[in-house]
Amino acid sequence: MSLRGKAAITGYGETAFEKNSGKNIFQLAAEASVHAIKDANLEKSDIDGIITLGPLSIDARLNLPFAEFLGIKATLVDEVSVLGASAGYALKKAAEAIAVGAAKNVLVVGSDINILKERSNEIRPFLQDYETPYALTPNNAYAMAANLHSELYGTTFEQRAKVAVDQRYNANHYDGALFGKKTMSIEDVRNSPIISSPFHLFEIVSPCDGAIAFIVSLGEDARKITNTPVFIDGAGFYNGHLTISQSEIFTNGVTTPIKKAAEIAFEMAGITTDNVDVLGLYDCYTIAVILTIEDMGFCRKGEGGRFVQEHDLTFKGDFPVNTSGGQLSVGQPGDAGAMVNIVEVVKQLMGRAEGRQVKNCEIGVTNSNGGYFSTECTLVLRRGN
Amino acid sequence: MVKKAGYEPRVEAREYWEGLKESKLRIQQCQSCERYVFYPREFCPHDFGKLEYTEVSGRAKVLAHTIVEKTAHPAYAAHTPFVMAVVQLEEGPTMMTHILDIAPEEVRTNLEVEITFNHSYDLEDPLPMFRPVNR
Repeated sequence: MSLRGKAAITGYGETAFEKNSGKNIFQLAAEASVHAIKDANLEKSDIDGIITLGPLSIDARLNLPFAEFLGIKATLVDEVSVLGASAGYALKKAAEAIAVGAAKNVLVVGSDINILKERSNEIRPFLQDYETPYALTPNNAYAMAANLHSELYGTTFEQRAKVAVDQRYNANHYDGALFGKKTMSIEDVRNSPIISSPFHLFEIVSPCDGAIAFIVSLGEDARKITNTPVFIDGAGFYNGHLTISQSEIFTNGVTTPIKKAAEIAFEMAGITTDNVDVLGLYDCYTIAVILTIEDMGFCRKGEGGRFVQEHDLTFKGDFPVNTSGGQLSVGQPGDAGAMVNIVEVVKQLMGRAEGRQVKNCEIGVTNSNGGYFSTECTLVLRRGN
Repeated sequence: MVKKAGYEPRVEAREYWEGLKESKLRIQQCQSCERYVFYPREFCPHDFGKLEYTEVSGRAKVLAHTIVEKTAHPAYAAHTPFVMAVVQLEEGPTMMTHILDIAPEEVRTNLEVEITFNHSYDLEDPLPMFRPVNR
């Protein structure tokens, strides 16, 4: 079943993104949610569904406690737990639930605390048995992918660094970014210490506190709710593996499950890469953006490094990606991280990106990536006016 | 001393961990498709066949690697830089490991390696590590 026209984002809300907000996960979730409901000009009683994102910072699930904390009674109260892919997946699930009549206005909220401060004690089977004992962290898993990509295709440090530098330029025009007031050059990235080869520190995302919420509404009601609905026209999800040692990316030329997720989403929306005006691509590391561009089909496999070198990824450029700075510059609020990428695309499509507004923006594509290029969700979003 | 995980080994993996204590790499093989499987499962992930443990050669090749310059892991923090890698066993399955006994910058994809239990890490449970062959 295609989701085209069935559901639309009608409002969004955010907290500040801070290293130490002094607030807990429910306070942050509530703040973003109330902003989102007001943004959509809806009442509390209009919200009949909630989908939360499984947090990294606490052991609890959020869905039932948060519904009560916020004071919402609903016909849909769910939580998605696909690591960093949860943001896209939650929006997909919201659209699907609306399409089958399970709810009419779903609050999708991701909230998390800086994982350097608070970390869930949740047992992570298999990862904890066979990988963590070798000291594996995401830094190392993504570094291995970046190393292999360089070995196979000649991708360079400068190409990867340009992703972080172009996004920092974008962040310098967004007040909400954690690193928005700091400029950054290729040399700055080069001079930051190497953490796990080939990654320098400034190629690695910085965790923070924060929450983002969206309202997803029944497509046929969307234009009554807002003048600027953003339709979820395509949604594709694909889970390839969990642990990095079981991944196929090291034997298939570094092709991630994004390829299949994007194929599903693009086909559902009836678009090709030529139709895309703005992108919000999961950017936990510089290499993630390059691999996503390749696997979505904007260039051939192996040419992603050259592609980012030849294109301007800023909001002023010919290939605008992560126009608020992405997670690399805005910060990564745990499993809600991909919402940073998604909310900026929504702002662009609603015409609310202020000084960063990309002109004639009609189609946006986002990707949410979980684990180690493990679990992927691509959304095709369309301006609805 | 650092334990490999904060809980007891899984039942289906007991023979693997017991093997390591004897410096043997014992992994599962499917009794119907004959493919080797790692990490330990209940059924073969290829065809749901029955799995039996068998000792394998310990020969492998590097699929991908990174030189770790900084880690918070207590067993390894004093050993940086070291090479973390995913290797593919001669028998097919892939696994996480470290590559020892080589200058880190010399490690490349397809480097041929063999299992070693001889290392200076302070681990409570033995873990398979790999080193270049013919050295």
